[in-house]
Amino acid sequence: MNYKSSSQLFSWYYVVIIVIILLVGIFATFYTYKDVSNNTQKTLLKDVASMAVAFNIDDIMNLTGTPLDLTSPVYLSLKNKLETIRATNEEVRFVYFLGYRNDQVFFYLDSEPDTSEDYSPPGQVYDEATDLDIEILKGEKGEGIEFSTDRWGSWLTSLVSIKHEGQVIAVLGMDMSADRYFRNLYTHLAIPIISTIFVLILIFIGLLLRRKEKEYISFKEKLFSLATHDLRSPLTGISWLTETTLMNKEGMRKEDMQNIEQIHEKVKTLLNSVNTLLASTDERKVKDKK
Amino acid sequence: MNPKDTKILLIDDDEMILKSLITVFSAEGFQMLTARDGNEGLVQALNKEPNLIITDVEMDKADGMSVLHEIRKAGPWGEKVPVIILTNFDANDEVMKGIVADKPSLFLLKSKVNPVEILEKVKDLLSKEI
Repeated sequence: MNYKSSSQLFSWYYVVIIVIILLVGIFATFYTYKDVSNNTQKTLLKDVASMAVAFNIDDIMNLTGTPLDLTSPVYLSLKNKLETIRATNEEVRFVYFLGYRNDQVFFYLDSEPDTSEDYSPPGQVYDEATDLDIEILKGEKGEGIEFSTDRWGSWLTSLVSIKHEGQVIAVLGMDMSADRYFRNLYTHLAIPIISTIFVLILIFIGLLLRRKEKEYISFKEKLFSLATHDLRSPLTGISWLTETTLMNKEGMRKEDMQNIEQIHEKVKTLLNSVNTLLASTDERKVKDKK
Repeated sequence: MNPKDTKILLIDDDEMILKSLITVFSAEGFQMLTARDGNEGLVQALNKEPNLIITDVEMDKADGMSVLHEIRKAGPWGEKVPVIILTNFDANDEVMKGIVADKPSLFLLKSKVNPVEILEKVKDLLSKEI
């Protein structure tokens, strides 16, 4: 006889649970992405706005945006401040002031030492200026944040305008490495993603264990069924044959007849006991299952 | 129903069971056919088209369930012939799954009936067929 397991790994119930977990995981991941992304950008924008307020407007207005600034005490003081800001904010790579004249964006000064290959001298034209840079420089917007790429790399750039009597005199910019930003973001995203995968793995393990358990129970039941059959069959044969033999007792010796009657009675008693025992074992199995 | 005109096929690999049933049914006048395994039983059934079949389940060379299934596919006779399943497996045992689909006429647990009781049930079934 062929004993195939009839258990199914998936029922609709488990499919629904898995779908719900996946949806929750996707929602949590998306929510984390939005939350971390927004918070990081808000924080950067707030920081650059706070820093802008700390600068003296008159100092900025004294900048010419030409090599003449290199010997100016104001330039050197501002440069020192920018370098300090850069040194004390490990997330920030560049801090700088931008200016706008003759339809060109240029650097007033930046936070890089003049020995650095990334240094921008006063007056250096910034060809890679974005539309946002120009909008803020023109006074069309007061602040902004965006991803940008230039000769120095890829950045998350936050910008704020510095105004005097309503006119934009410079823009303070702060760059965070885009790699750093995304690394931070992915680190946070790992939590909901790994949690979702972990829960799904636990569910699959649970389903496998349940399937194994069902197969084991099914196997035990089949074994019991076979044993039941093999116990009853010979006893039934003896009971029937003795009973039908006694139907034709004419010509049988009295002693032989009595012997067969005794055999018949004994085997009937034994068969009843076996049936009772098997029935009570079956009831216990049903109770165990419940 | 005249037992002398009624053919009953017994399919069982247990010699004691066959002898007991033949004793009782022959005494009543029934024409008895016997087979000791599923294949032999199926051949006898399809060739002789008995009026009633009594079959065991656990046998060599095709079990009782296969025999019942094949008989039910054998035309108008096969669809209607009463078939009694006589076994020591409980009806709701795993091995008995699917048998209901082939519409056995009666299911009897050997250890709870005796040949005389089976005879009464057979006569009852045959009288209903008429």
